[in-house]
Amino acid sequence: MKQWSAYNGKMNIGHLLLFFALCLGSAVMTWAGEAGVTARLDAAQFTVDQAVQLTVTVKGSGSARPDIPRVEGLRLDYRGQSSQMQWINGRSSSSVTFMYSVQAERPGTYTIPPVKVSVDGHTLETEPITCTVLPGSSTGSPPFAGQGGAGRNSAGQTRLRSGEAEKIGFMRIIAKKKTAYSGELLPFTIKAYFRQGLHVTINSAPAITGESFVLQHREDKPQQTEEVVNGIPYTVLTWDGSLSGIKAGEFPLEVELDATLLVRQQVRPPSGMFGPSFFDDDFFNSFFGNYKEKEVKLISPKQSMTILDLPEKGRPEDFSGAIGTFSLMVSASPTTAHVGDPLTLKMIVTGTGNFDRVQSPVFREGPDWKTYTPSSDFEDQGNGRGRKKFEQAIIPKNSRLQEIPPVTFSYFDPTAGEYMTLRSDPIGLHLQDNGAARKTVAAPVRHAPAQEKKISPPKTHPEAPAVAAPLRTEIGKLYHRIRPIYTDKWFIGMIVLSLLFFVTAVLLGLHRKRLLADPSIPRRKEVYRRLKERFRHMENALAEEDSSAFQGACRAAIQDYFGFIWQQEPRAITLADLQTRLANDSPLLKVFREAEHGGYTGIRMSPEEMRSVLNLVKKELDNLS
Amino acid sequence: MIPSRSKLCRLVLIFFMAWPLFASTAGVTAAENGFQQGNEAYSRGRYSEAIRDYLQFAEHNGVSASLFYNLGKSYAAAGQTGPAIVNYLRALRLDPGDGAIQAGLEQVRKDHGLYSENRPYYERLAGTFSPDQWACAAGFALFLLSLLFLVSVITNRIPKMVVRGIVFFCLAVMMASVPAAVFQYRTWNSAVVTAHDARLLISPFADAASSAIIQEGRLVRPVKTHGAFFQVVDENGHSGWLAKSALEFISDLPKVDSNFT
Repeated sequence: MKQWSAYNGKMNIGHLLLFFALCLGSAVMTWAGEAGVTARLDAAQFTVDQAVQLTVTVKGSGSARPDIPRVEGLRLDYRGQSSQMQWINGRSSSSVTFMYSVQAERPGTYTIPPVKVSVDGHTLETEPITCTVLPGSSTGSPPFAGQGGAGRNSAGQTRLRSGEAEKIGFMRIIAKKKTAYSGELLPFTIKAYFRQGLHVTINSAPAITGESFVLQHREDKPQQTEEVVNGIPYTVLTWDGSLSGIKAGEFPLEVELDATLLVRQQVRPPSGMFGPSFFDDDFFNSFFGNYKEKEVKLISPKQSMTILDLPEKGRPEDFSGAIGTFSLMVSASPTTAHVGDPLTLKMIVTGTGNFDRVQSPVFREGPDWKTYTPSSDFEDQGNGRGRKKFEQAIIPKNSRLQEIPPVTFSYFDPTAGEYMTLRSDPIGLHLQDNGAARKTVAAPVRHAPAQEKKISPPKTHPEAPAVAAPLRTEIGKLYHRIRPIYTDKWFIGMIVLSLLFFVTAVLLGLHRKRLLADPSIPRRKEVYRRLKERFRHMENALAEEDSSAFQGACRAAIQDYFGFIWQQEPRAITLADLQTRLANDSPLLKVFREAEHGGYTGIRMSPEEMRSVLNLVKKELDNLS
Repeated sequence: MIPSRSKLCRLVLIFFMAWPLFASTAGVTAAENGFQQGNEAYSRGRYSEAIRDYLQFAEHNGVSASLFYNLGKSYAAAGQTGPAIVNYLRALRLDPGDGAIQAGLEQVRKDHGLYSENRPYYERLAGTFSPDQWACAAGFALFLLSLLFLVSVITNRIPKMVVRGIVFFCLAVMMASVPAAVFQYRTWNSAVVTAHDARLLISPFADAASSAIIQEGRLVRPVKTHGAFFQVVDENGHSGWLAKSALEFISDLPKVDSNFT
């Protein structure tokens, strides 16, 4: 056990020695690494209201601190530092980077003297740096705009030509062809490249400059992709569209785009008497940094486009300016009709080209046909493709017609470089003669052809109007509004009355049904009506102090009530019946007995007794009912 | 001979009582003169003058089916298809059953090739009568039905066969006319294109691309408005934006056109 421990202790000592040897070797190698210092200024030219960054990198020492020289007219403020250590193939290297912001107090050319760094007793120096400070402007280009001539227009907008400001972005317009005919639809792709990480807002759609081209179509929303150009990643906005040349010649093609950049302005901190403050760190600088909107205009490099005139030779009469590749489809309905009936001719032109110049195929109007202005409907299928549908009303005027003649459509094919004419096949027609219809058509109907219709109509026409019906000579009922009948009072009244009738009928019907279901209801109502009458008689008798009338009414009331209950004739009910059916102590029995007795004997009741009896009878009958 | 005081008072009273009658008669006569002036101008072939007279009459006295009919004829004779059609349609709103107005409208439409595509059968059926006619039919059927119901409940003496027959008839009329009236009233706020070869635009801006040309005289139904444009749907279902100035609503009263004053 002891031997084992001794052996174990020897091994530990060996490992420790090896570790110290490695550390020593490393230290020696590190020490052996080359020490050096470099300084770099971000921009050699800047304005007085801009700040650029001075970076001082010290290699081979982690503790050295550069001695920043003072320069008259320049302010150099410490912005922070970062350290870096590398191990490559057993060799280590370390460097510390110190960052300073440099701002000038006035324009001029300045030289920053060598920056000195003391490393282990040795003094190292950088090369002097020369920079030019330009006068300031309120709309200076952003510091990362590069040194290439970023011009300014009068509106304070920075114009960035492609290639001049590649640090921000650039534009390209890619036309599919370099030579086109005047009016031909020329597809293009516009691409706007913006450096990734920039905050950019597009202010407008890209615009084609110059008066020699007309933008025919352009996508409203661009596609957004990413591309790497010369090793720099860009966010790319792409618009597809088409344009056409107006006149023959060689013209420059250029596109421009307005955008707003969000540019971070360097904050100029107050120089503290205790050196760099806590908030001088880059983190706080970017967090509290002052962002400013900057409007820029990107302009693509000019491209030369050649526009050719359409050839005069072989130009068809019905050519309306359509250039592209088209096909024609024609149909008609109905194909069986009477003379004078309108037929609808449907003509569909499909293909690729300048559809704005595609006019209706030509139907030749002759003595046998009457035609009207066609209507059109265009369906855009994108990228110059489309479908234009024409509908034209035509009226046959001759019963001998057996077919609808062909229609023609002419266009210029830019690929073939020649005019083309499409001709439809005749459409078979079965016409029946119709005297009345012919008469209608043959009548002098005033109708201007298509070309004339565009002219403002004449104020007066000497021809007789087509409608031969006479004028109205009676003015008739006058109105001050044209309103629907359901807003008229009489109509509303009629509807309300109808509903009232309906509700009344329903209620009456329900009531009648209830009565039919329970026949005792009317009898009960009759008894109540009679009792009310008896009570009224009793009250009258009480008021007149007529005891015999009171007793008579009292008896009659009791008889009426029990007659209804017992389903007997009321007048047939006697004292004996009541005695048989009512309890002996029933107050009504007593009252009836006294009333009957009084009637026979003529004993008169006092008013108090009558009132007491009246109340008693009312109460008892109410209780019983 | 000097009338007595009581006689004088009686005369003054009669004069004041009869004054409104005289005044109204004179007013109607003057108004009808304006209408007749329009008729006279039309008969002499001076259509623009006739239109001006009719419009002025309408502005001061109101409108009638006859006035709209004559106005429609005048516009048709002056070559203005859109205003002719809109005025014929206005006349039909006031007098839906008038055959002469129907014929005038059809003639103008036929003369200018204003045919609509084949409509579904239910739409054609609903178009047999005007919305007001359908509404009247439904209202009278309801009234008759409820009255019959009430009378039969009260008297209980109407033969059951008669009651059943009338009820069946009224219900049938109501079932046919209520949906037709609702369907037809959808087009109450329709308008007529009064501009020549107006363009349907794809968006409500003057420089927007056009999707179709719409003929003057076409009936359109505005569904949305934006600035100086209406989004409209025509009889064939085509939709687009049209300048407000290119339309005239059927339910609006005619305005005196500066071209005719």
